[in-house]
Amino acid sequence: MRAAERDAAEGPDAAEVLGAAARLEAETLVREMMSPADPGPTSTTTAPVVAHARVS
Amino acid sequence: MSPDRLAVTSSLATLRRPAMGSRLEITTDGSAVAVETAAAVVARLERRWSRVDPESELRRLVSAPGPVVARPSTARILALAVAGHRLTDGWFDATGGRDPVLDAERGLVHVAPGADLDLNGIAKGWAADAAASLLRDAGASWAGVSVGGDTRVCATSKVLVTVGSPFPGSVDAVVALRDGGVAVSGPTPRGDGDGHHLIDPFTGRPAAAPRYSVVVAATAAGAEMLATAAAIAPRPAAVDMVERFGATAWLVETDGSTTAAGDPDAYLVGAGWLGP
Repeated sequence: MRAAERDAAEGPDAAEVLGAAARLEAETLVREMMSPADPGPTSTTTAPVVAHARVS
Repeated sequence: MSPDRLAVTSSLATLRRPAMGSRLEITTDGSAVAVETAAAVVARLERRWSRVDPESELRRLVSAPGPVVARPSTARILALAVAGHRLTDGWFDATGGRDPVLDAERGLVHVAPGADLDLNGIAKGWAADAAASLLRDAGASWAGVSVGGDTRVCATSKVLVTVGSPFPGSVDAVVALRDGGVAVSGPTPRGDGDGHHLIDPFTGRPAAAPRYSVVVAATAAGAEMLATAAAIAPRPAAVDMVERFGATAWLVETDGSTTAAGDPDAYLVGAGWLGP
Protein backbone atom coordinates (compact mmCIF):
# COMPACT_ATOMS: atom_id res chain seq x y z
CA MET A 1 0.00 0.00 0.00
CA ARG A 2 1.09 3.55 -0.64
CA ALA A 3 1.69 4.50 2.99
CA ALA A 4 4.00 1.53 3.52
CA GLU A 5 5.77 2.14 0.22
CA ARG A 6 6.39 5.74 1.14
CA ASP A 7 7.74 4.76 4.52
CA ALA A 8 10.10 2.29 2.90
CA ALA A 9 11.35 4.86 0.41
CA GLU A 10 11.91 7.62 2.94
CA GLY A 11 13.15 5.43 5.76
CA PRO A 12 11.88 5.30 9.29
CA ASP A 13 12.99 8.81 10.27
CA ALA A 14 10.42 10.73 8.25
CA ALA A 15 7.59 8.46 9.27
CA GLU A 16 8.58 8.69 12.92
CA VAL A 17 8.65 12.50 13.12
CA LEU A 18 5.21 12.34 14.67
CA GLY A 19 6.76 10.29 17.41
CA ALA A 20 5.94 6.67 18.00
CA ALA A 21 3.90 7.40 21.11
CA ALA A 22 1.84 10.15 19.46
CA ARG A 23 1.30 7.99 16.38
CA LEU A 24 0.16 5.08 18.52
CA GLU A 25 -2.16 7.38 20.43
CA ALA A 26 -3.71 8.65 17.20
CA GLU A 27 -4.17 5.15 15.80
CA THR A 28 -5.68 3.98 19.08
CA LEU A 29 -8.16 6.84 19.01
CA VAL A 30 -9.11 6.17 15.38
CA ARG A 31 -9.70 2.51 16.21
CA GLU A 32 -12.04 3.61 18.98
CA MET A 33 -13.81 6.01 16.61
CA MET A 34 -14.39 3.18 14.15
CA SER A 35 -15.42 0.63 16.80
CA PRO A 36 -19.03 -0.56 17.19
CA ALA A 37 -21.75 1.92 17.99
CA ASP A 38 -23.81 1.25 21.13
CA PRO A 39 -27.12 -0.22 19.93
CA GLY A 40 -28.69 0.14 23.35
CA PRO A 41 -30.97 -2.42 25.00
CA THR A 42 -34.06 -3.74 23.28
CA SER A 43 -36.96 -1.47 24.03
CA THR A 44 -40.69 -1.77 23.53
CA THR A 45 -41.32 1.95 23.78
CA THR A 46 -41.48 4.14 20.72
CA ALA A 47 -38.14 5.74 19.95
CA PRO A 48 -37.95 9.24 18.53
CA VAL A 49 -36.38 10.01 15.18
CA VAL A 50 -33.57 12.34 16.08
CA ALA A 51 -31.55 12.72 12.90
CA HIS A 52 -31.39 12.12 9.18
CA ALA A 53 -28.19 10.81 7.65
CA ARG A 54 -27.59 11.26 3.96
CA VAL A 55 -24.78 11.12 1.44
CA SER A 56 -22.12 13.60 2.49
CA MET B 1 -36.76 26.94 4.93
CA SER B 2 -35.05 29.99 6.38
CA PRO B 3 -31.27 29.73 6.44
CA ASP B 4 -31.05 29.91 10.25
CA ARG B 5 -33.87 28.54 12.27
CA LEU B 6 -34.08 27.55 15.91
CA ALA B 7 -37.39 26.19 17.04
CA VAL B 8 -38.16 25.37 20.63
CA THR B 9 -41.21 23.63 22.03
CA SER B 10 -41.75 22.58 25.57
CA SER B 11 -39.72 19.41 25.16
CA LEU B 12 -37.80 19.69 21.93
CA ALA B 13 -35.25 22.01 20.42
CA THR B 14 -34.34 21.87 16.78
CA LEU B 15 -31.96 23.93 14.74
CA ARG B 16 -31.16 24.04 11.05
CA ARG B 17 -28.36 26.28 9.86
CA PRO B 18 -25.83 26.40 7.02
CA ALA B 19 -22.48 24.98 8.12
CA MET B 20 -19.31 23.56 6.56
CA GLY B 21 -20.56 24.08 3.05
CA SER B 22 -23.71 22.14 3.85
CA ARG B 23 -26.22 22.09 6.67
CA LEU B 24 -26.16 21.63 10.42
CA GLU B 25 -29.21 19.97 11.94
CA ILE B 26 -29.67 19.50 15.67
CA THR B 27 -32.61 17.78 17.33
CA THR B 28 -32.60 17.32 21.09
CA ASP B 29 -34.52 17.55 24.31
CA GLY B 30 -31.71 19.73 25.59
CA SER B 31 -32.06 23.44 26.24
CA ALA B 32 -32.04 26.12 23.58
CA VAL B 33 -28.93 27.57 25.20
CA ALA B 34 -27.14 24.24 24.87
CA VAL B 35 -28.22 24.01 21.23
CA GLU B 36 -26.80 27.45 20.45
CA THR B 37 -23.58 26.55 22.25
CA ALA B 38 -23.29 23.35 20.23
CA ALA B 39 -23.93 25.29 17.01
CA ALA B 40 -21.25 27.78 17.99
CA VAL B 41 -18.75 24.92 18.39
CA VAL B 42 -19.52 23.77 14.84
CA ALA B 43 -19.14 27.32 13.53
CA ARG B 44 -15.79 27.68 15.28
CA LEU B 45 -14.50 24.45 13.77
CA GLU B 46 -15.69 25.57 10.35
CA ARG B 47 -13.75 28.82 10.61
CA ARG B 48 -10.71 26.90 11.76
CA TRP B 49 -10.70 24.17 9.10
CA SER B 50 -12.31 25.80 6.09
CA ARG B 51 -10.60 24.95 2.83
CA VAL B 52 -11.89 28.08 1.12
CA ASP B 53 -11.74 30.77 3.79
CA PRO B 54 -8.33 32.46 3.37
CA GLU B 55 -8.35 33.31 7.09
CA SER B 56 -8.78 29.71 8.22
CA GLU B 57 -6.03 27.94 10.12
CA LEU B 58 -6.04 25.21 7.49
CA ARG B 59 -5.27 27.71 4.73
CA ARG B 60 -2.55 29.25 6.88
CA LEU B 61 -0.92 25.85 7.31
CA VAL B 62 -1.11 25.07 3.61
CA SER B 63 0.39 28.40 2.58
CA ALA B 64 3.16 28.57 5.20
CA PRO B 65 6.68 27.93 3.81
CA GLY B 66 7.73 25.99 6.91
CA PRO B 67 6.49 24.53 10.17
CA VAL B 68 3.96 26.59 12.09
CA VAL B 69 2.38 26.24 15.48
CA ALA B 70 -1.13 24.85 15.16
CA ARG B 71 -3.98 24.74 17.62
CA PRO B 72 -4.06 21.42 19.48
CA SER B 73 -7.41 20.55 17.91
CA THR B 74 -6.01 21.11 14.42
CA ALA B 75 -2.87 19.11 15.12
CA ARG B 76 -5.06 16.38 16.55
CA ILE B 77 -7.44 16.14 13.62
CA LEU B 78 -4.48 16.04 11.23
CA ALA B 79 -2.93 13.23 13.27
CA LEU B 80 -6.24 11.39 13.20
CA ALA B 81 -6.51 11.85 9.43
CA VAL B 82 -3.01 10.44 8.98
CA ALA B 83 -3.87 7.52 11.27
CA GLY B 84 -7.13 6.94 9.40
CA HIS B 85 -5.17 6.80 6.16
CA ARG B 86 -2.90 4.09 7.53
CA LEU B 87 -5.63 2.07 9.21
CA THR B 88 -7.78 1.99 6.06
CA ASP B 89 -4.80 0.78 4.02
CA GLY B 90 -4.70 4.11 2.23
CA TRP B 91 -8.31 4.19 1.05
CA PHE B 92 -9.22 7.12 3.29
CA ASP B 93 -7.03 10.03 2.20
CA ALA B 94 -7.36 13.60 3.45
CA THR B 95 -3.90 14.75 2.44
CA GLY B 96 -3.61 13.95 -1.26
CA GLY B 97 -0.80 11.52 -0.57
CA ARG B 98 1.40 14.05 1.15
CA ASP B 99 0.95 13.69 4.88
CA PRO B 100 1.78 16.75 6.97
CA VAL B 101 4.71 16.43 9.28
CA LEU B 102 3.53 16.74 12.85
CA ASP B 103 5.71 17.54 15.83
CA ALA B 104 3.35 16.66 18.64
CA GLU B 105 5.71 17.78 21.37
CA ARG B 106 6.06 21.35 20.04
CA GLY B 107 2.64 21.59 18.40
CA LEU B 108 4.21 22.24 15.00
CA VAL B 109 2.66 21.31 11.68
CA HIS B 110 4.49 21.43 8.37
CA VAL B 111 2.47 20.94 5.22
CA ALA B 112 4.54 20.06 2.14
CA PRO B 113 4.39 22.62 -0.69
CA GLY B 114 1.59 21.76 -3.08
CA ALA B 115 -0.08 19.39 -0.64
CA ASP B 116 -3.84 19.34 -0.83
CA LEU B 117 -5.34 19.10 2.63
CA ASP B 118 -9.04 18.39 2.61
CA LEU B 119 -10.46 17.67 6.03
CA ASN B 120 -14.04 17.43 4.77
CA GLY B 121 -13.88 13.67 5.10
CA ILE B 122 -13.40 13.91 8.85
CA ALA B 123 -14.21 17.47 9.94
CA LYS B 124 -17.98 17.21 9.53
CA GLY B 125 -18.15 14.03 11.54
CA TRP B 126 -15.81 15.46 14.15
CA ALA B 127 -18.02 18.55 14.45
CA ALA B 128 -21.15 16.41 14.80
CA ASP B 129 -19.43 14.36 17.51
CA ALA B 130 -18.34 17.48 19.39
CA ALA B 131 -21.80 19.06 19.25
CA ALA B 132 -23.67 15.91 20.29
CA SER B 133 -21.26 15.26 23.14
CA LEU B 134 -21.72 18.82 24.36
CA LEU B 135 -25.50 18.41 24.39
CA ARG B 136 -25.21 15.14 26.28
CA ASP B 137 -22.86 16.69 28.83
CA ALA B 138 -25.28 19.62 29.20
CA GLY B 139 -27.95 17.20 30.36
CA ALA B 140 -29.87 16.22 27.22
CA SER B 141 -31.29 12.71 27.42
CA TRP B 142 -31.12 12.48 23.66
CA ALA B 143 -29.50 14.47 20.89
CA GLY B 144 -29.04 14.01 17.17
CA VAL B 145 -26.58 16.17 15.25
CA SER B 146 -26.01 16.02 11.51
CA VAL B 147 -23.38 18.06 9.70
CA GLY B 148 -23.63 17.66 5.97
CA GLY B 149 -25.34 14.30 6.53
CA ASP B 150 -22.67 12.91 8.90
CA THR B 151 -24.63 12.09 12.01
CA ARG B 152 -23.96 11.47 15.69
CA VAL B 153 -26.56 10.53 18.27
CA CYS B 154 -26.11 10.45 22.03
CA ALA B 155 -29.03 9.19 24.09
CA THR B 156 -29.98 7.32 27.24
CA SER B 157 -32.04 4.84 25.22
CA LYS B 158 -32.48 3.82 21.60
CA VAL B 159 -33.24 6.57 19.11
CA LEU B 160 -33.86 6.38 15.39
CA VAL B 161 -31.87 7.76 12.50
CA THR B 162 -33.31 7.77 9.01
CA VAL B 163 -30.83 7.09 6.21
CA GLY B 164 -31.75 8.93 3.07
CA SER B 165 -31.87 6.94 -0.16
CA PRO B 166 -29.91 8.26 -3.13
CA PHE B 167 -32.12 6.25 -5.52
CA PRO B 168 -35.21 8.13 -6.68
CA GLY B 169 -38.41 6.37 -5.70
CA SER B 170 -36.86 4.09 -3.08
CA VAL B 171 -37.54 4.20 0.63
CA ASP B 172 -35.25 5.63 3.27
CA ALA B 173 -33.76 3.12 5.70
CA VAL B 174 -34.00 3.46 9.48
CA VAL B 175 -31.37 2.46 12.04
CA ALA B 176 -31.68 2.46 15.83
CA LEU B 177 -28.85 3.05 18.28
CA ARG B 178 -28.20 4.61 21.64
CA ASP B 179 -24.83 6.21 21.00
CA GLY B 180 -22.87 6.34 17.78
CA GLY B 181 -22.33 7.76 14.35
CA VAL B 182 -23.95 7.15 10.99
CA ALA B 183 -22.33 8.23 7.73
CA VAL B 184 -23.17 7.72 4.09
CA SER B 185 -20.73 8.06 1.23
CA GLY B 186 -21.29 7.59 -2.43
CA PRO B 187 -20.95 8.91 -5.97
CA THR B 188 -23.08 12.02 -5.71
CA PRO B 189 -22.76 14.17 -8.79
CA ARG B 190 -20.31 17.05 -8.63
CA GLY B 191 -21.71 20.55 -8.70
CA ASP B 192 -20.14 21.15 -12.09
CA GLY B 193 -21.89 18.10 -13.48
CA ASP B 194 -18.58 16.46 -14.33
CA GLY B 195 -18.61 12.99 -12.73
CA HIS B 196 -18.57 12.44 -8.98
CA HIS B 197 -16.38 13.61 -6.13
CA LEU B 198 -14.87 10.32 -4.89
CA ILE B 199 -11.18 10.25 -5.74
CA ASP B 200 -9.20 7.04 -5.89
CA PRO B 201 -6.18 7.91 -3.71
CA PHE B 202 -3.98 5.48 -5.61
CA THR B 203 -4.59 7.02 -9.02
CA GLY B 204 -5.58 10.56 -8.12
CA ARG B 205 -8.56 10.24 -10.48
CA PRO B 206 -12.29 9.74 -9.86
CA ALA B 207 -12.89 6.22 -8.54
CA ALA B 208 -13.81 3.89 -11.39
CA ALA B 209 -16.62 1.93 -9.74
CA PRO B 210 -17.73 3.66 -6.56
CA ARG B 211 -20.64 2.44 -4.52
CA TYR B 212 -22.82 3.82 -1.74
CA SER B 213 -21.67 2.88 1.73
CA VAL B 214 -23.59 3.36 4.95
CA VAL B 215 -21.54 2.89 8.09
CA VAL B 216 -22.59 2.77 11.73
CA ALA B 217 -19.69 3.16 14.17
CA ALA B 218 -18.89 4.61 17.57
CA THR B 219 -18.48 8.15 16.24
CA ALA B 220 -19.57 10.17 13.24
CA ALA B 221 -15.95 10.90 12.30
CA GLY B 222 -15.05 7.22 12.46
CA ALA B 223 -18.13 6.29 10.45
CA GLU B 224 -17.30 8.93 7.85
CA MET B 225 -13.69 7.77 7.38
CA LEU B 226 -14.86 4.17 6.97
CA ALA B 227 -17.74 5.15 4.68
CA THR B 228 -15.42 7.11 2.41
CA ALA B 229 -12.93 4.25 2.23
CA ALA B 230 -15.60 1.58 1.78
CA ALA B 231 -17.21 3.51 -1.07
CA ILE B 232 -14.15 3.10 -3.27
CA ALA B 233 -12.17 0.08 -2.06
CA PRO B 234 -12.79 -3.28 -3.77
CA ARG B 235 -15.80 -4.89 -2.10
CA PRO B 236 -13.89 -7.72 -0.28
CA ALA B 237 -11.41 -5.17 1.07
CA ALA B 238 -14.25 -2.85 2.11
CA VAL B 239 -16.01 -5.64 4.01
CA ASP B 240 -12.76 -6.68 5.68
CA MET B 241 -11.98 -3.10 6.65
CA VAL B 242 -15.36 -2.50 8.26
CA GLU B 243 -15.33 -5.79 10.14
CA ARG B 244 -11.75 -5.32 11.26
CA PHE B 245 -12.86 -2.45 13.48
CA GLY B 246 -16.16 -3.99 14.54
CA ALA B 247 -18.25 -1.41 12.71
CA THR B 248 -21.32 -2.23 10.61
CA ALA B 249 -21.94 -1.26 7.01
CA TRP B 250 -24.18 -1.72 4.04
CA LEU B 251 -22.39 -1.53 0.68
CA VAL B 252 -24.81 -0.74 -2.12
CA GLU B 253 -23.62 -0.98 -5.70
CA THR B 254 -25.07 1.36 -8.29
CA ASP B 255 -27.24 -1.51 -9.60
CA GLY B 256 -28.86 -1.69 -6.14
CA SER B 257 -27.28 -4.96 -5.00
CA THR B 258 -26.32 -4.85 -1.32
CA THR B 259 -23.65 -6.46 0.84
CA ALA B 260 -23.90 -6.14 4.60
CA ALA B 261 -20.87 -6.25 6.89
CA GLY B 262 -20.56 -6.42 10.64
CA ASP B 263 -23.77 -6.76 12.68
CA PRO B 264 -26.60 -5.22 10.65
CA ASP B 265 -29.35 -6.85 12.73
CA ALA B 266 -28.15 -4.91 15.77
CA TYR B 267 -29.12 -1.59 14.16
CA LEU B 268 -31.40 -1.95 11.14
CA VAL B 269 -35.09 -1.51 11.94
CA GLY B 270 -36.31 -0.43 8.50
CA ALA B 271 -34.36 -1.81 5.57
CA GLY B 272 -35.67 0.52 2.86
CA TRP B 273 -33.04 0.95 0.17
CA LEU B 274 -30.53 -1.10 2.21
CA GLY B 275 -32.62 -4.25 1.87
CA PRO B 276 -31.93 -7.06 -0.62
